[in-house]
Amino acid sequence: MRELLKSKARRIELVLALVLFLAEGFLYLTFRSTELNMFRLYEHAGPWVNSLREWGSALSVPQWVRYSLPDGLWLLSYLLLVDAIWNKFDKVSCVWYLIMPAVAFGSELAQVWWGLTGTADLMDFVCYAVAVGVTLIVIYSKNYIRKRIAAYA
Amino acid sequence: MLKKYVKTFLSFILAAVFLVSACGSIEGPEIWIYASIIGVALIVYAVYSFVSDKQEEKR
Repeated sequence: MRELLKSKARRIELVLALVLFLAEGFLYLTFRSTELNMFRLYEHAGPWVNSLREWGSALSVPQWVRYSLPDGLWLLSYLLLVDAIWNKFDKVSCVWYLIMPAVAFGSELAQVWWGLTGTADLMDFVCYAVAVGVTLIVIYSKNYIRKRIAAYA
Repeated sequence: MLKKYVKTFLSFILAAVFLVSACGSIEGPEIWIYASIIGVALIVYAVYSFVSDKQEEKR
């Protein structure tokens, strides 16, 4: 595990992923319906969730921040963590990189075609696509820096 | 460098955690059926990768 924290780029990815995951959880807890499965767990968490939701209900937040941004943050957080673990996209690691984007896009398509519970929304697709795009930029930037360092060495 | 089978193990744990968190963000119990199917596929792939990584390391 110590190996995982040796590289500075990996440390940044890990911290960023954790922050994004916490931000996603915060948005869900504050703004989303209590009918979601996660609230079965949080109903035992005490009054702080209710206080948070009361505070959130007084805020005016755009719909896409409430309903789509958390999904994009969730996917980006996963992809950054996988990239921190594998450090490169290849034949061996591609399954781990692709599984959650497949689940994310698949669940949206299942809501459209097979009536899976939830509301399919174009902004959800956009947020997922942005998360994948940001990850591709991170992967290519790391490769580019690696090649430049190798060229100078 | 992390060993390949350690990476596989960490990736499996990560995917499992994110799969459960995805189920938490959806209404209704039927999502757990789909998640179980994906979960079983993940376990099979993780075990296959783990074993082949270990064998590769032995060689």
